[in-house]
Amino acid sequence: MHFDLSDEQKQFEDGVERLLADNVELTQLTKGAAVIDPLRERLEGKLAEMGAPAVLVSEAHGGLGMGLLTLAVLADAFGRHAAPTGVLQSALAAWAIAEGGDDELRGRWLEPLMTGEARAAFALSEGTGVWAPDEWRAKRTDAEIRKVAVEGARDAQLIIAGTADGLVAAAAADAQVVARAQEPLDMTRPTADVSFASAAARPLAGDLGSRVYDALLVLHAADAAAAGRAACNMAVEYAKVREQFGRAIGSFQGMKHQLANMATDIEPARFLCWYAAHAWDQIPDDASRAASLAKAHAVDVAVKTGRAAVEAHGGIGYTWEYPLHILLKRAMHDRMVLGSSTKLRARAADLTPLVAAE
Amino acid sequence: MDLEYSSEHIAFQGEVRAFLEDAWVKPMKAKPADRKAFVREFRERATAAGYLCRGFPREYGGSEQPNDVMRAQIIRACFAAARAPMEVPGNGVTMLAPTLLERGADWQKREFIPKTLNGEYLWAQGYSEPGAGSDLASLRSRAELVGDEWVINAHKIWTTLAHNATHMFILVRTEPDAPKHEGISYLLLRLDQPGVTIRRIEQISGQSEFCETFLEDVRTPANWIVGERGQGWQVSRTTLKHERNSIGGERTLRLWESLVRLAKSTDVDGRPAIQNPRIRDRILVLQGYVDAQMYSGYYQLTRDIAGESLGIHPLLNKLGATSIGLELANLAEEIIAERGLLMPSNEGSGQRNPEQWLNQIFGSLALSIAGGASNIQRNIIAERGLGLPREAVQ
Repeated sequence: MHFDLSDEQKQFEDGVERLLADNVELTQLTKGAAVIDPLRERLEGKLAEMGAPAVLVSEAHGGLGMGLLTLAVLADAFGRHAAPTGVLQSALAAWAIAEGGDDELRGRWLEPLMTGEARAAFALSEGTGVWAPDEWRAKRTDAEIRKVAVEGARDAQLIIAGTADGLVAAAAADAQVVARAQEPLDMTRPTADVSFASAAARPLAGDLGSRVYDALLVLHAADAAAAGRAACNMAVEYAKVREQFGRAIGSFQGMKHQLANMATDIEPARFLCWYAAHAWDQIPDDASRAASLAKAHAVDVAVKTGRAAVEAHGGIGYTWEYPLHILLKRAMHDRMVLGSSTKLRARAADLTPLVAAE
Repeated sequence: MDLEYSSEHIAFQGEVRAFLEDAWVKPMKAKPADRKAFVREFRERATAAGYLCRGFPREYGGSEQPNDVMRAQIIRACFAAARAPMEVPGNGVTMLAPTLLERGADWQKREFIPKTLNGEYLWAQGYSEPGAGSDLASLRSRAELVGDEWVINAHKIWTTLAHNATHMFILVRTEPDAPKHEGISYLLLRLDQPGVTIRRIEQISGQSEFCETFLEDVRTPANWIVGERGQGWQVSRTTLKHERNSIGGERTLRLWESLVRLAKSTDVDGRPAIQNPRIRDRILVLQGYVDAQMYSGYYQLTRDIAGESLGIHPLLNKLGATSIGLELANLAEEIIAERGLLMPSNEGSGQRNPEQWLNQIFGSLALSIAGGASNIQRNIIAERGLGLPREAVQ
């Protein structure tokens, strides 16, 4: 038994961590799109050089075949730096195209997605909390397919949408992408509404909808767990330097206990995400249950931790210029996508033999 | 990442299972006449086979096995599945014997370890005092060397199962003029002698596992001291190094599983509690914490085997498990509802009636206090784990 990352995964993680540490400064992200958009371009260029968009595609299809766990490790790094990138979606889309695309889709998209020349976005939500494959009402026979809250749609060249008849892929050039006028909650990951004529879309073969949905659950779970951990660490570091009543606030027991509770909540969450990623890679029977539970748990604990971190900071944590809110909103975004935690726990319950059996 | 056992470990697992089938499961089905004698004999066989007392040399009654946390984990899992007893429970095997192995004189190891491992000596722990709980080092019980004997005057509390114990290991102040931590010695004594008064403490659960122990001019030989005079605090910090990293999270998982079974077998509003969406959701909320902690345990085990740093994670285990236990109790209380208005009977404890959960409901509180109360755990996490400034303590 070995419950840890492989040396290869650790090396990948170290490389990405160096890239992010050198390029992403949390305080800069508070300045919004003017900083974030060029940063996204720069990061995605470098991530493509490192092979990130090819991580999930099997070696038989020219990818790295390193599994979802490796992508989850990247999601962890992106979450803790609130890195503005949609490379994980592109990597997952490349996998879906490789597994389910016909020759034309593969010929047109696989290589560009794996090299970072093209980006993809997943159009799943139909509004009112509808995100999961068994809830998709859009049909391939509909004249038009409409989806909302599509992360990364603005920068994508390929849209993969969920329908009651399976996944379909459409070129973004053939779709209407409408970003709302308001600022996104999580400025690092703007969303848009997407619609396209179904005649412009091609189906992906096989039942990939659940696989894609489960993979996204795991990636958002890992992202949130890491953002929560980073928020906790910020509160800890702040408590070491902020002085009141003539001493560091971190020397007060009230503060220590609050921070200890936060660490106890958030630190183990990452391992639940690792397991869910591993299950997606290796234990298909348990993948949907594990992904649903990991997402529900990680995002709830991450938001709880992020809010506690703001409270631990005091007034400075409530200001826009102090970047803690970037991490909190990152976790909130993760919580708000792909279905509510209550719904995901119900899905997990139905898939847990001990709970579900009469 | 690989959650399977290697072929070597699968073979070992088969070996342990076969042993248990032969030495425990089958004979138990035949209902041995003298259960106590049978258990003692079983422990001897399991030790001879290398499954119990693995960290202790053969000359002291152990099985002297190389440090192998994976095998230790397999043994625990197989014994739990077969409901077979492991080492003699209590402080003697988990605390005193490892301490003697590390810090005891050779004659003490020969004299005390074998009889502790085989259950002949049962030990009470004399640490806490009415005025020294979380701040243990402020203890005031004392001993003086008079001739070739220590004369002990002590008032100890929470001496678990002292009324059954034959011996006690005790922290007493022997150097009254030395600084707080440096004036303490670690002594051993027999409990069957004049001057020893043991009063059982009735707990909120209705049980009495804990005792208060008064020692008035109680005597013990001068050489029944572990380590030197004034080193008792250090000696008491000695922990079991051999295969110490059991996966605590698995015990919590078992508890969660029994909560699910309770929710399936107990009706709420005329149907099984598990079908109530709110209860079902809370059970799944708990599962998130339970599983996260268990996988953290797997991670710690893996890192331990590889000799790599475990980071902050081991420090979080107790508080995490305690918090889960408290919330499990909360939910169990909601499920058993009016069925918990009567205390569980002490007879027929094998049966899991709903009111039996009162034991867990109260026991979860005991766990949040024993072995370092939760607020002390939080201090430890904050100071040793997160690097926050240490409290200025006296």
